Order: sequence, then structure tokens, then C-alpha cells
Amino acid sequence: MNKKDFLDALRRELRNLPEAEIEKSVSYYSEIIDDTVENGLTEEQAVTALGPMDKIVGQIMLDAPINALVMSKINQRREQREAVQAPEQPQKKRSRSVLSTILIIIGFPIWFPLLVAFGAIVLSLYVVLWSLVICVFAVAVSLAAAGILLLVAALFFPGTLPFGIVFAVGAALILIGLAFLVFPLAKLCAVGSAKLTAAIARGFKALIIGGKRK
Amino acid sequence: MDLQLKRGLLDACVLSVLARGDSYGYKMVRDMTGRVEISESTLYPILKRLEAAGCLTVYSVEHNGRLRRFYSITERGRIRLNEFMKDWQEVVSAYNFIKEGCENE
Repeated sequence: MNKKDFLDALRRELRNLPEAEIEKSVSYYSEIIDDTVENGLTEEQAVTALGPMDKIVGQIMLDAPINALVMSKINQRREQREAVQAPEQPQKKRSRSVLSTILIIIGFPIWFPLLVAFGAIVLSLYVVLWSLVICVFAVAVSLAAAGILLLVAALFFPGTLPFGIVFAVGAALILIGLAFLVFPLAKLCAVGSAKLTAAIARGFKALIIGGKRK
Repeated sequence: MDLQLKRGLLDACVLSVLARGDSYGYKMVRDMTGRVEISESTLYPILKRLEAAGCLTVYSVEHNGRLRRFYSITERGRIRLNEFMKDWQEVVSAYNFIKEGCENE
């Protein structure tokens, strides 16, 4: 395989990604091949040295947006199916694709709510996760606020308090101390759930790329 | 090797290559082979990820009638590299602890 064949094949494999993404990947590999050739190898050797195409594509896909991955998987499936059907019954295939289009349209009341429900579940999971994080932050902030307020009251308006100044200052310091303890915890929660979110997205992508790379 | 660990390691390796000076894809892989296991296809997503995170910037230089993309480390990239060195101290001390356990077996 020479450079042009390789880049054409790469472009074909990536066709469902955004145009800018394809161009970036193609120009990266084009540059690598040119540099390898400049170093004394032939184009064929340079392409072989890059390794198997599905590994290259897998690496690019793992960082691609999820919807592009889903599109590429669907297209892949359809092409496989059509490749199997094509030889025996070329004219039936067309009627089937018309039929499936009609089914998709008629089935709209069924699959659309399902899709919305699935999206809503995912969204609510995110909301729950992040509201937990916000909760912990709120606890830290309110502890700090209560502590500071009590301290101000104790120092400047001791008359308004139902208990002694020493008690009030002590309680205020404890509250502020607790806030200092909770704040790092809240930060940890935020970082943790950000990581979890990213990990789930990556796992989902790996699932879509799936079988072929295993 | 654990995937998450390996990703972190390779990110730091790429940043450390750039900390020695701006470089381009082919040369970066050449500089690392023999010491770090990396290929052109694994380097590509790392560069993309680091660029998206603002750890490096990209510029093009003309070379033999074509463009060569050079990568340059940013301030944020240097901070990330320092963080990695700090984190790694913990890994080393954990490693020594684990090793002692293995030797006592």
C-alpha cells in the first residue's frame, strides 16, 4: 500500500467524523509518512511501519465525539448487511430499505419517546451526581458563613446573643474549622465526579467501537 | 499495564520531550523509541488531548515544499509536568512499600 492508498483508506474509515477532524488526522499521517520516506524508507515500508489500520482508526475514534462513533457503527453494520445481501437479491434490497424507512416513520411514536426517556435517564444521573457535589459545597459554604456571622455577632454585637461571648466565639471557631475540613472534601467530590463522567464517556465509546478492537 | 496509568505516563513523556524543545511527530517518536514504548498511532491522540487541554500549541513550518506541524509546550503544560513529578513521588514510595512486602514473602 502506498501513501495515497493509505490516506484514502484512512479517509474512508473516518468518513463519519467532522471534516476538520479527518483533515487533521490525514495531514498528521501524511507528515509522518513523508518524514519516514525522507529518512530512507520507501512509501510502502513507511505505511507498513504504521501498523494495522484498525488500530490507527481505533486510536482516533476513542477521542471522537460519541454521536460520530454511533453513526460510524451504524454505517458499518449496514454496509456489512448490504454486502451479504447484495449478490443474491439486488432488487429486493431496495424495497427493504424503503420498507425500513416507512417503518421508522410509522414507529416514530414508539422509538421517539424511548429515545427521550433514555436521554432523560442519562441526564438525571448527571444531575444527581452533580447536585451531590453542589450539596457538599453548600455545606462547606454555609458552615463558613454561619461561623463568620457568629464571630462578627460575638465581637461587635454581644448583646444580641442569648449566650456568653466566650461560648459564641468558640462555637464560631468550631464552625469555621468544620468548613475548612469540608471544603477539601467538596473539592475531592467535584474532581471525582468529573473523572467519573469522563470515564463513563470513554467506556461508552469503547463499547461502541467494541468487538473489532478486542 | 493499567490503561489509566499508561495514559498518564505517556502524556508526561510527551510533555517532557517538548520541555527539551519544540518538536514534530516523527522526531518525537524517534526520540522516545528505545526508552518509552510509543508509536505514531498512539502519539496522535495524546497530542490532540494535550492540545485540547491547553498543554501545548501547534504551529506549521515549511519543510521541503510541505508543511510540518511543530508542537510547543505551554506554561500549563509545564505545570502539568511538575504535578506529574510530585505525584510520582507518591508512586515511588508506594512501589517501595509493595516491594518490601514481596521480599518478605
